[in-house]
Amino acid sequence: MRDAPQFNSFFMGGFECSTHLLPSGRRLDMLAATGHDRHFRRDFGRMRAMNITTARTGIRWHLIEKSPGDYDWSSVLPMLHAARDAGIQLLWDVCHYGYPDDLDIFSPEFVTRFRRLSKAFARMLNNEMNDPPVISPVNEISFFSWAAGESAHLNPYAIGRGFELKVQLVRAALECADAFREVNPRTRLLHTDPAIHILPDAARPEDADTAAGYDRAQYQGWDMLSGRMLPELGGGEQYLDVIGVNFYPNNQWYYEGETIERDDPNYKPFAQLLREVYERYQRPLIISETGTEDDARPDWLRYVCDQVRAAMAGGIPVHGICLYPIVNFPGWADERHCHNGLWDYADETGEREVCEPFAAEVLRQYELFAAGLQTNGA
Amino acid sequence: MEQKIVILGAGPTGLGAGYRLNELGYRNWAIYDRNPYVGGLATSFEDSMGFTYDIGGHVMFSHYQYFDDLVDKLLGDQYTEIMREAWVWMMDRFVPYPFQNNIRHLPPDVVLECVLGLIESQKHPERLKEARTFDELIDAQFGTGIARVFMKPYNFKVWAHPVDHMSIDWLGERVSLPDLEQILRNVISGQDSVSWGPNNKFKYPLYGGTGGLYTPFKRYIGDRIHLNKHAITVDAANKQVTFSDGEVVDYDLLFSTMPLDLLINRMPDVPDAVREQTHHLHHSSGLIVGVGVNRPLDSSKCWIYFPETSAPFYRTTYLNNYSPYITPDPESYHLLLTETSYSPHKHEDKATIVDRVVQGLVNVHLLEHDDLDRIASTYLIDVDYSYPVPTTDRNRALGTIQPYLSGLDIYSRGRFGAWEYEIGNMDHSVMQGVEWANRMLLGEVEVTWKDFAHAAETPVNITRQEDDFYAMPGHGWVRAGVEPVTESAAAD
Repeated sequence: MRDAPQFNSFFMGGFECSTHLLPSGRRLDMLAATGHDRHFRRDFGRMRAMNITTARTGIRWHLIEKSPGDYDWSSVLPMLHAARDAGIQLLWDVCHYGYPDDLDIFSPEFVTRFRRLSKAFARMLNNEMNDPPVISPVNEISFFSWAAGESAHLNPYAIGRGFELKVQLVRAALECADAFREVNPRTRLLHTDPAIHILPDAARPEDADTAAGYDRAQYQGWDMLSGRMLPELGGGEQYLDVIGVNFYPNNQWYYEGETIERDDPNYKPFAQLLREVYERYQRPLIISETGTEDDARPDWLRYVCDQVRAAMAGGIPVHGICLYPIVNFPGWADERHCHNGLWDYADETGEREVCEPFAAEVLRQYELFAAGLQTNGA
Repeated sequence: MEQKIVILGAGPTGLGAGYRLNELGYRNWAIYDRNPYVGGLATSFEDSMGFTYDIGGHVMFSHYQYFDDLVDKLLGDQYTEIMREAWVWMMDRFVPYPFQNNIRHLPPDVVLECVLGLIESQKHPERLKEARTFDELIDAQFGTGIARVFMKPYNFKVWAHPVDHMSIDWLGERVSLPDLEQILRNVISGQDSVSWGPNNKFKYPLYGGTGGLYTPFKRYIGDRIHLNKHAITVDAANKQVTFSDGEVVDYDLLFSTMPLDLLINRMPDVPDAVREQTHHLHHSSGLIVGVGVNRPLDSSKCWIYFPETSAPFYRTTYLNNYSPYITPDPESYHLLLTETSYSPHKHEDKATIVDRVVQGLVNVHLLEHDDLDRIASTYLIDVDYSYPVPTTDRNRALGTIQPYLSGLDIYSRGRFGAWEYEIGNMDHSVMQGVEWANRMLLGEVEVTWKDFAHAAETPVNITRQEDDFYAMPGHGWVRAGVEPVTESAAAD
């Protein structure tokens, strides 16, 4: 549990797999919307050709547990087999914002049902695979709590119940972890959340404490999981195997104000954010999500990679960078064609056009990391 | 966990290194500078009347994406854009730059001498390859005529060193013969080929002169910069720097941008074999004289070269053409920034330099006699280290000194820290610092700085310039006459 994580490749590809409900009641299924649920074989082959042999993906609870207690793995197994055949390691999100229609996320039943799902999933994986599973029980606990429980951006669109939801999601994540470890003690737990930086607006110094509070709140999910906060939830250090840090160009902002852009002297270098996370938890890290849109993609990757290499040179164990998403997806709310992946939408044959400048930068960074890893023996 | 990095010098190289360390989230570092200001040789001074003076002509021109992005970040929209319009003044007339393309402006007998020299040099292309000194190269490349009337006298005025003491490798690998056909066509058809055009512009800070590019660094790393800190001893054995105020600072890695010979002088216990190599590092000094004149200027020229002895300076820049904020009021004033070199090979009397510059400006008709009463301000900057001269013995000296230093975790970079003139422009200087930080933190190879200890394995990086670029001392890299041919403007 305490040894270094083993990922197939340093660069990883993340398939957006959210299944949350829109305010209209329509359920998203991003694996379907991106065509990955149909073209996974081709997708894994493309990744392999780019030396990206670790992928983040997720299971879709609402498709698996159509009636309580019955688990249908037909939406997972073909993907799992194809990955196995292609030599692609899959890191699984067990809950990525979505859950069955009949569940109230705040109810105790949510936790027990999630535990049962997890146990069944663990058994299924145990039957299918030799390698220990790597799972993210609940994706982005801190962010999900704020978006779904505090500010009505995600299902269940609650307001003012963010902390309550965070506690609930931590409970669920811990039950999931226990269920997996009961089946396979070698299960590795990856807990992801955004690394953020919030400052008071210079015009409103009175917001300093509030801004600092929001800034600190980014750690609450990991703090509860590791038993540093609300230890009565049952958290402990053994639940933090790998910390996944998500980082995008808009992860820093002035409280109730503008984004802190990269040319702002107040922008905190990503290497420093990584160091703060590492110094707090002393656990191995991956960059579990990073990316941006359109022409900015290569430059953003260059920035993130420079920062990661600087952090690594400073002794921070970063074990991977996940390009997220790896294939373009339609916007959640507006189905806007987002050009944020390495590959575009699939045509009817499963072919996807590659974003050449982005691919060139990925290859360039691959070489730089390969050289660095050799020299540093990291 | 992080090693302590101490940077000596808050000029372009030190600031570049500090900025990059900060950008990469490194925390354990600090900059010290002996001056009360940042910017080093690229700083600017404002006098009490409101004239702003640069330490000689600086042109912000780069082939580095990183540098260009950084300039955008530091200046935002607070910059001007100027076409680099350069001229030569000689034989009582203006000749557009590049000189060799526009010799038709000279008296007929001089044109003939230049053309015959060019023809002779074109007959012997092998001499270009055989040339070992700058003196030989000038003859082989331009012929004896252009060498006599322009290249040799001009270069002596810039470098303050005999041109046969200078090497040629600093010019890059792509020195080529001038286009004789083009030159003859220009002579016969009365056309000019000039070095400036809409595609050859440079940026200049709107406020604060050239130094206006460097003060904004303080927004990012101001809390790391310690001014008025004069390093007097570098104790490599104990990894300590002692400052003149008595403070002693420990370091793990020392990044020095002070002149390389001074650094060695401040280190006790340097082996004689290393110390004596500093005698092979030669430099020129400069007397920068600014003259503010109470008369508006009607000229679009940027700068003018002076190869003759009618004026002490080798170059004058119309600095007021760079930004409206260089003078108290562009409607009423203009500012002439002159540069005069000196060295043990070329003495200049500092006590009389301002008067001699003013007389020289009259001699070359940049000032009229009536203007003498309109001089509103003069300003003298005495620059001890102005040009690191690429002498023939330089590379071997660097190849001895630099590995000795790096073995002690001391890295010397920058215009005078590296002592490599060919990478001494502002963009190079900033990038030497950035690339060193990248080397330390990211394990990347420094591509701008040339390591003469391993020169054979290191590519000559100055060939990053396009084919038709070559070095004209005193103003960095300029384009050698490939811009569209334009009708001659009457020399004003």
